[in-house]
Amino acid sequence: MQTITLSLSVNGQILDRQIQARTSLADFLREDLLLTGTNLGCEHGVCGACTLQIEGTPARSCITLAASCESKKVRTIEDFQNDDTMSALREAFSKEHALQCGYCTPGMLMTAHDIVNRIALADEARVRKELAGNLCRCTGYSGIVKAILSVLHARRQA
Amino acid sequence: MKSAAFDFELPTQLLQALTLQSQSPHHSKFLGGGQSMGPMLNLRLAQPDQLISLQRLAELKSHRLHDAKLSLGALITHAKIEDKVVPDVTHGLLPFVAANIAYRAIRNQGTLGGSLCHADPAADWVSTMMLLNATLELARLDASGSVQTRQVLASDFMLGAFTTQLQEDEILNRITITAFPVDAQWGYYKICQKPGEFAQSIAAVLQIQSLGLYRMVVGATSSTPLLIDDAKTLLNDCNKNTIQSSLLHHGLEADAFELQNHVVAVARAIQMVNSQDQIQR
Repeated sequence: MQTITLSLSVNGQILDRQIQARTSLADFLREDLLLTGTNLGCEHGVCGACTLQIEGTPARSCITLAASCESKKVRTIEDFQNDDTMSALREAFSKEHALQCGYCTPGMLMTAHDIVNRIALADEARVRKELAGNLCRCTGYSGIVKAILSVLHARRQA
Repeated sequence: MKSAAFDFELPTQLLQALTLQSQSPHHSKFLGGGQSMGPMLNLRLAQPDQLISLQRLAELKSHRLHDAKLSLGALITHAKIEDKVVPDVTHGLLPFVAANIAYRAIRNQGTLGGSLCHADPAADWVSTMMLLNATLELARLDASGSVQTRQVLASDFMLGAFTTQLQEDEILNRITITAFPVDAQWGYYKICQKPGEFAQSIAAVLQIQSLGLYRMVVGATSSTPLLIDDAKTLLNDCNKNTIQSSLLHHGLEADAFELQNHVVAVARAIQMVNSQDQIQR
């Protein structure tokens, strides 16, 4: 059916909504749920601005159909207010000037969160490789890489 | 940049998925992880009337290792191979290849089978499965309405850029590879402008001396990857002139720039085979 009933969990809340089957997850979040923290850039999976978590792992919400998330758990940037890793990353991004316009930042933070939690021993080369799927047109990446490395470093000291 | 309208189905059984397709009066497509279909839909390069998502077919996410044969469900994601959730029977080749496909956010969703069916010449699995002489199992409904399967070799599956043997009413079900013997050595090198970008060249080589096997695949060509089954001389003589004339001799079609990329990729893949400090071996 072109219109479907979607049942999923967004930021811990179970929702049932009628949507058009063609709706991307990003559009569903932004337009139906008014969760505008997830930004849309290229809309074909290249720029990374729309990165969020599906079932606990990063995914592109612009090329994921909302319909594909039936019965799944989706977490957007809005749900990381009380997350220790994300708090440390936010602070580091601010300290290291890891953003200017801020458009890529929600996606950057989601990817950074994954790097810190998945690759404890990542060095600068690895961080840069893992960040290759998130484009930033302002910073030249240097501050972003520094911010992520500083959080990784602090984790290793702890 | 928004998809055209379509119907969406989320079956839970292979038979159900195939039946939905057979009953659809319009153009329907099966959907794997959606990491190629998503952009194609948004760009309206693909405008199916119906999408049948295979995501709930648990069987297509399973793997089985039996008698040195590893059978991989078509919906196994690149990340599952990268993280070795799927057993590695290739001395690190499969995890190495998986880890360098696009980006982690893509690898978490994108699937082995989806990539093979999409058949982008620059895709990693297309070349890798040819190198491994993988067998692909395709499923469809027979006249009586039950599931029947056929086996196709990876080297026969792809017919050209974005074109495969897979018929509209078929689903790629499983991919089977043979575990490497102890003396197997591999090399894999791809040239990308930036990490995760589509490759400009892919070279994959496999040498199993005990079996007398010396195989090479050159991918990211304009059509199907080039398979060279008698690469013994090439593997022993890593000279760029020899490589270039051999690639041309085997029918590689490329302009001067592309040819240079392929020659360099092949030389570096051969160096990997010959070097002692091979990655993740």
